[in-house]
Amino acid sequence: MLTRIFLALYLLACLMLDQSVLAVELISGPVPTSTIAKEKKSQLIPVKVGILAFRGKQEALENWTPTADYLSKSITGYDFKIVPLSLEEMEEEVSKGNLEFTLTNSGHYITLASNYGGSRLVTMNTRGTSSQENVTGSVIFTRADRTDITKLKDLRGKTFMSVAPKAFCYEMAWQRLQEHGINPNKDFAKLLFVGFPQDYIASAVQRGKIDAGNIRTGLLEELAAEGKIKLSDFRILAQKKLKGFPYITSTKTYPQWPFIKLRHTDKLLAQKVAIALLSMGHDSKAARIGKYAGWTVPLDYTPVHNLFKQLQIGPYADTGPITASKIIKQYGPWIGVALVMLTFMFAWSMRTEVLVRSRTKELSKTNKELANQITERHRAEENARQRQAELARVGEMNSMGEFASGIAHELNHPLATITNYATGCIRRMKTGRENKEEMVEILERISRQATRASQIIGGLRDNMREDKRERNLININELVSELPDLLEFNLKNSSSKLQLELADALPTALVDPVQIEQVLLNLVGNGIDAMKTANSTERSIKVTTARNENSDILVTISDTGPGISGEMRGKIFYPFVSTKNEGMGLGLSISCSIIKDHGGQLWIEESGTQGTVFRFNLPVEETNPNA
Amino acid sequence: MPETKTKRSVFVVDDDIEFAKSVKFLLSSVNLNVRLFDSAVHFLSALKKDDEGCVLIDVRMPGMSGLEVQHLLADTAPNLPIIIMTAHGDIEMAVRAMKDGTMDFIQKPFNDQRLIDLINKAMKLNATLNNKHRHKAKLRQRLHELSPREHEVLNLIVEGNTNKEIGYHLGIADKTVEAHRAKIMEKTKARTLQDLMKLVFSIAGDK
Repeated sequence: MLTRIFLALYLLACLMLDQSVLAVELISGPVPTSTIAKEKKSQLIPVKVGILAFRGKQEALENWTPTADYLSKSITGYDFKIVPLSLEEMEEEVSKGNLEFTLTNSGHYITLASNYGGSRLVTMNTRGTSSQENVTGSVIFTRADRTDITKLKDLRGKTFMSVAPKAFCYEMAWQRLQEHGINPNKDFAKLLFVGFPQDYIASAVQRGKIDAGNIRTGLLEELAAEGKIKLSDFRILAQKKLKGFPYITSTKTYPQWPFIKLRHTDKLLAQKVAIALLSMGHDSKAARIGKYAGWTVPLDYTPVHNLFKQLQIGPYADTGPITASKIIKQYGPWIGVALVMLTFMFAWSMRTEVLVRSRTKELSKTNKELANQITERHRAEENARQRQAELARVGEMNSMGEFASGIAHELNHPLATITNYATGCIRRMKTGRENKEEMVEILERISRQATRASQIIGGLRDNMREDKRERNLININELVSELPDLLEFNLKNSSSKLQLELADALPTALVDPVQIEQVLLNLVGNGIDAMKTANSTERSIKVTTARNENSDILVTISDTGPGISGEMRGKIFYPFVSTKNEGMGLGLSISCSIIKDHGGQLWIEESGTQGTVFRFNLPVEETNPNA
Repeated sequence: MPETKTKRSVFVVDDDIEFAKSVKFLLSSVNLNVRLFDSAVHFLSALKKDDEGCVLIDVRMPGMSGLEVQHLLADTAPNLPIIIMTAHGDIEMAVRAMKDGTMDFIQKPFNDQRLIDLINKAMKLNATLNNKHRHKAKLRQRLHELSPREHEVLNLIVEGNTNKEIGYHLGIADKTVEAHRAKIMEKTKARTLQDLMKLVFSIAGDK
């Protein structure tokens, strides 16, 4: 039973962490006890864990030290110490690289990660009344006897108290107020930030020192349980009923605090910490004293990103008033890129237009016959869309692929918007109908769209930079075997056959399975497209795995298409070169760099007869125990 | 009676409202009246029977897509021409839309002249369709003014019967048939038998 639990935990950890290192660790077995005995306290490596002290530093230290002790005990050779910090102090310590790990609210995490790097290891479960919760929200409240304040709108012109402008629970409340048309920075008679701990806000509202305030979810209930307040003394504003969430809340819920690994922190240590925290019981001593209920796999923090985007704060902060020269100065290169892309797209649309015209003509002839097939096509297209969504998901995980398709799709809207505003301006100016105020407003909008475009690119760049993808020991045959399923629709649609010839006992290679799958999909997909467009009578594509003379793994993809001309052959691996009408011309160049990145090579074979033959090799991982 | 002139609009439907606003700005520079909607549902629920103009709608939107709206409009507002907006790579969809009765489609980002030309073409088409529609309605109204007996006589005329045959059929005198016939010609404002036949057949196709 115990081994089963261990195995489950191990698999869970493998999902998130570098499997290869863990695998090696398992093979080499546990560290001999004699080495542990030799280690003295003085040899322990100190590890500093920052904690956001939202109810005072003393309490944070008391609450969290057992968790640090638990980590020191679970991971030999390290001494974990708690450092209680305010929001500003934490930012400073992180920027100086003084902390190995830190635990802070979800909003602060987004800011830290974007400014200094860092990634979440696990998400905290809060100690709920009935179950373990791993989400949090914010409560906005006033005194129960304030009959003049029953809705959020009534807060206009009133006084309001919160903990700190950058506290996440204030940011959640801010978003909710904004939804109801209240701008906290303008519409309150007074907006007071009183700092941690938040207990004071509740008592200030209760004693009538302030009209209303907000605190994190759960705290009111905690204070009531401690006998410090009575829940009936308060009126909760904009209260939300959320299924399965046991606390009073005025906002949506967002993921709880993440335990964060900072950029410079040793990966292996981070893995050990993640495993140790995940194996901590929900009701262990450290969790009880820390007032939480263990840890869970890291949650999705996109809702927090969206919140910040809406409020235009943190990494999404607005840049203030805008002038034309500022726009050109700041976005000159982007506007340049945009213009190049626009020209490109315009040329593109002209080309596709011609294409579509000719196709439409052709199609209108057979229109009547097609009528019956429309429902079937509808279904097929729905399938295709689903399949494409699946493939897109596979593709999304490849940062380079994401960058390429991301640029095309995401940038289209801001660029199209900019184009409309710009051409609209030109038309007004030519007819002498421009008015200054309107032009300024439109230029501001153009600049906002340019910001949006640059944020999209910035986001993509971050994705490429953050956490290089992990590689695992994989039998390439497994990846090849998934091709028929993944390409089912394309094969059926083009009436092509896919044959697999897999070598027995192929050794494993250390690869990123998603990337290699992408290369395979790209090469086979190209083959299918080539056979389809050339109307080949025999449409069959073969994928073979083997070992070459250097014992590398050799994968061959050959089709019965028209082949590639000698002239094209020289250029085919360059970016933006394509033989297809719909192609971006990036597939092969991305594939090539993925294989190179894995220590192999991708090339096109002289096939002599007909068809195209692509080959790539991948080095074998020698430490592999069971080929 | 003169028709009340409703202002004709371009109905722009796109879930990216910033983009929709930019389209409005562009089109208003050539004095077009533009109404914006951020979803197909909002558009369809705001659409009134006597709304005139054309529709510029995005092919991909969360919820109901442009293609679905097109199918709905084919029944409820057949006179509103539809222009579909696509992003690059949606060629297949665009082809399908054209087959299903979209007037035309345009790729984002737009060439402004092409957009304006398309919209003008759509507005003209809408005007023509509306005129035809109104004309038919007028003709139908004239037929409604006929008495039941005149209707009977008209049906028999259309079937190709002579006055004598009609009189025999209805059990009335030739002279009476003659009088009915003259009344029918007067009410329908048809000058010749051919005019009358044309009128009846032009409406016969409709419900």
